[in-house]
Amino acid sequence: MNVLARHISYCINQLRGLSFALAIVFSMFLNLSGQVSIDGVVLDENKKPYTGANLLLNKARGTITDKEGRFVFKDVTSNRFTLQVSAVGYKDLVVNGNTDTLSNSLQINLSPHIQELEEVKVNGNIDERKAKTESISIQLFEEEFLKEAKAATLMQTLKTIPGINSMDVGTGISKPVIRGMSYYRVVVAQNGIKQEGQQWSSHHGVSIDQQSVSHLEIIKGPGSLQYGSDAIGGVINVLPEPVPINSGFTGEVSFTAKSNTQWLGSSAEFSIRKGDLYSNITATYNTYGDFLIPKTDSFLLPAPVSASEASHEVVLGNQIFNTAGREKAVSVSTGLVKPWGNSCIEFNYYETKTGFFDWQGIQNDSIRSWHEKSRRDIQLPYQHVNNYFIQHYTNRYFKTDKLKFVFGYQSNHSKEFSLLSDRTGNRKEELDYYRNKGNYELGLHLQTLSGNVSYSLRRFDKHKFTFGLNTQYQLHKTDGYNHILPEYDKFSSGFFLTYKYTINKKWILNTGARIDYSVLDIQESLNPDVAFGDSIFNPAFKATYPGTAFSLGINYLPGRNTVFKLNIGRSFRVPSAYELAAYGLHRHEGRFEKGNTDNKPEEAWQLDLGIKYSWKGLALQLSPFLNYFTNYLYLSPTPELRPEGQVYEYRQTKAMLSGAEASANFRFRDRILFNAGAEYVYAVNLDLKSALPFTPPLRIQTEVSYLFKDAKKLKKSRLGIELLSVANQKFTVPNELSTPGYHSINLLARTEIAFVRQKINLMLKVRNLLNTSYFNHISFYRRLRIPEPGRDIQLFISIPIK
Amino acid sequence: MKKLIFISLIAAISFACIEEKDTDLEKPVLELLAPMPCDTLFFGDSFHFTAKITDNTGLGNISMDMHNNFGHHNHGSHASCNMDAPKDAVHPFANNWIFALPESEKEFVFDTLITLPDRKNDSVLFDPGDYHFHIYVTDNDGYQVFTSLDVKVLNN
Repeated sequence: MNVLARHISYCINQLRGLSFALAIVFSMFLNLSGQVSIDGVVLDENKKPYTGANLLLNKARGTITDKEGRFVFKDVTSNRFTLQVSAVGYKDLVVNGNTDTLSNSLQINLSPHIQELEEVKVNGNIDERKAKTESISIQLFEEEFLKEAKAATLMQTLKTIPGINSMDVGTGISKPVIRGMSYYRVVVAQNGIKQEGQQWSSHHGVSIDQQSVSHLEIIKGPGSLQYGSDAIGGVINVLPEPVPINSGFTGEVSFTAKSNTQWLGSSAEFSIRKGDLYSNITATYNTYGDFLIPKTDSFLLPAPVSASEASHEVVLGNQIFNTAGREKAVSVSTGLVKPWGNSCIEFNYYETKTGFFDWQGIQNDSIRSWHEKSRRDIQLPYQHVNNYFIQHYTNRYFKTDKLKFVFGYQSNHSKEFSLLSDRTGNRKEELDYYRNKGNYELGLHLQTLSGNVSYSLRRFDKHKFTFGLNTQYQLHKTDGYNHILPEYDKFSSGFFLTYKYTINKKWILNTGARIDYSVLDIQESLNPDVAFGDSIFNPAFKATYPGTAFSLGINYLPGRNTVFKLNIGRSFRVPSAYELAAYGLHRHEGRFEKGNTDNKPEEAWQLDLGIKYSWKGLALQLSPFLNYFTNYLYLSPTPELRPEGQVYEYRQTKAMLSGAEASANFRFRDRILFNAGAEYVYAVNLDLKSALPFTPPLRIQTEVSYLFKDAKKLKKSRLGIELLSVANQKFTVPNELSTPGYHSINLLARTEIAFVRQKINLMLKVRNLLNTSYFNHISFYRRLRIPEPGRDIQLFISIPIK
Repeated sequence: MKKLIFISLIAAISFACIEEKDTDLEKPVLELLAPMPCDTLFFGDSFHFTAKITDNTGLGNISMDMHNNFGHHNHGSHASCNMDAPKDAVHPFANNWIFALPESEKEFVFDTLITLPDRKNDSVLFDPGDYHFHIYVTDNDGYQVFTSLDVKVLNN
């Protein structure tokens, strides 16, 4: 049964992803309806009522058929609906329909379960409509996409999407970049709750196990109305695990092996549903070794940009010592699906340990020989992150309206370990203490409590209102020998209202406003060494930051094939504690970083356009954008030198970030698939008439795939080749290296093998097929002049289990 | 609406005309005049540290960091001096000197007198042998350049 369910959802996803045009045609029918009921009867092959069939409406509301085989969903809001039906011993069904054209009760006929399945025709889905009726650029990505694009981290997986990049440190640490914006300008959320870690640091990734992510939505551009201050550049929102549609036990086991890093990974996922109750558990373990760069006889690491300690020249070879890592994750969720809505508790644990390239150690023959002995050893310097996230959400339907609560607690504990030294001899006791703790250099512990409540008022035909309250409380504690960020606590709260007015079938208006208020309380921190540097690192500081945001958007749908969008808005962003009060050596970057408590909230005017055209197998999309910041916060080098390194300081400037994403998808006779995507960002510091730091260069990605006809044993076979062309980036800030452009070729082959009654999914990928030596402009190791990894052959196996 | 698009396109195009700077011309240039590579200095003595710095806009700071090279490490550009055999550091000397350079000058000869201490404390001498200077210079835009200097430091 489970295999079939997966098969069906596979088909649905295939159709969703690939015949976008078809989906769009159906999503043209806009939501103009009020409240209706969907009722019906489920019959077996003998036309007898079937009791106990599971029904799931729009992936959110569930019910079970009664003794007469009847079911009813009252107060359904959307006019287009998707109803998933499952019953033991019968094939799973997906019924799509439109409440406008639904005059009678539904009659659902089950057919007995047989191994071979026809494809279920799906005529559109709700998520596509969202993308069409919202004025901002919002896109949903499903499991199939995430599986095919899968890279080492979730953010590296997502960088195949035009407009998205990842800022990497080696294999295991990645930060999202959307339209050239990163750090505190991009929100990564889980079911609407912001993930909070150490977003200021290029060396802190996102603590999410991508294996537990089955679908997510991405907002490119302002998401400030619903997500608040930090969503000025975009949002990556991981959606909750879908409710299993079958009663019973389902699961999947997967294995990954990669040649370049000797990556070995495995993951297991199990779901159980019994009546209204369901549970899901995912566990993942990954381990990888040092990455290899294309073979060079002798590689010299020249002086990086800063800091006396980081300017040694070393012979590197092709193995980047001490870039190995490990990753462990467990996610558990359990929930309830009822006709009134659903409710769920989710717990995530994520742990990672990652080494950083040990330029210092490898000059020492004994340390170098340890590194040479093992690809997987993690010596100093390294990072250890523990992240816990527990959340509860409830969706409650009141007639046509929907009330949503989400509450969460998260704890992000990040520890950095590096060889410690004492400059003056005054801190001997502390030095011994932290050396005994494994050279514990920096500990950052951030705890966050979040609560979001929203209410969607949908009882009026053409008018939809959503209003909500987001609150967050954060407590930040520090530990370790060095200092960079003071202890603080922060409370922030925001209220928003959005309004969608469906003027007629061609015009939709989206507007909204938000007010925010936050209070930040930074503790004083003193210099433990009176003989070296300033006596006070951070004075006590308390400030409040009120803010407002608004947006106005119009969608014009002149025909079935075309969508025009225009959105203009003003967003704001409260400066982070780091941008206000950083003080200390950012060890891996080799510079002394300083905040400034005079920094004010950023304000941005944001203009977004979207044009989408689809016809038969062709889909074209263009999304230009223009962001104007009155006071963009950025880290600027100063002339000041300190013994620890050059001082960099957070400053504000007028800035403009402009650019576009374009994509073209074409499907020829259901066999050949052509996808092309391009992105470009132009970012200017308007005060200095110069660049902004680390802007991703122009990137063009072209992919051609052949989809094979299903054979008896092999199904869903696909062979694809991808060419990635990236331009050079010469528009840089002081001390940022220019980066030449490059081309890289990737291959993908996948199939599904029917092995007796068991299906096995196989996927083989080759990254950097030609073993090209190139640099990624926004990768950390670019700053050390270390190129990106060489050829990598990757094997993914997944086995669905019943 | 069309007007708005038009205005923003014009804005985007005009901004796009900002020229890309040649970072090599923006960076300060550092020329070391004294001490010269492979010179010998003495603990307890003074010496002149002299360097000529030029930049297109103005100058920032100069930093000199002195540390031992008993392990024969490498900072990229070095003169080939006669080095002692590698050895472990027992009482190595290390210090750091930082000075501000005139912000408005585009060319400046920096000169300072540096005195090395004669011993670590009453009973202990510093390890003699091969030492490195790290010299960093910034300009007023924050561009940084770096060079290194090999010297030998002996006890008097």
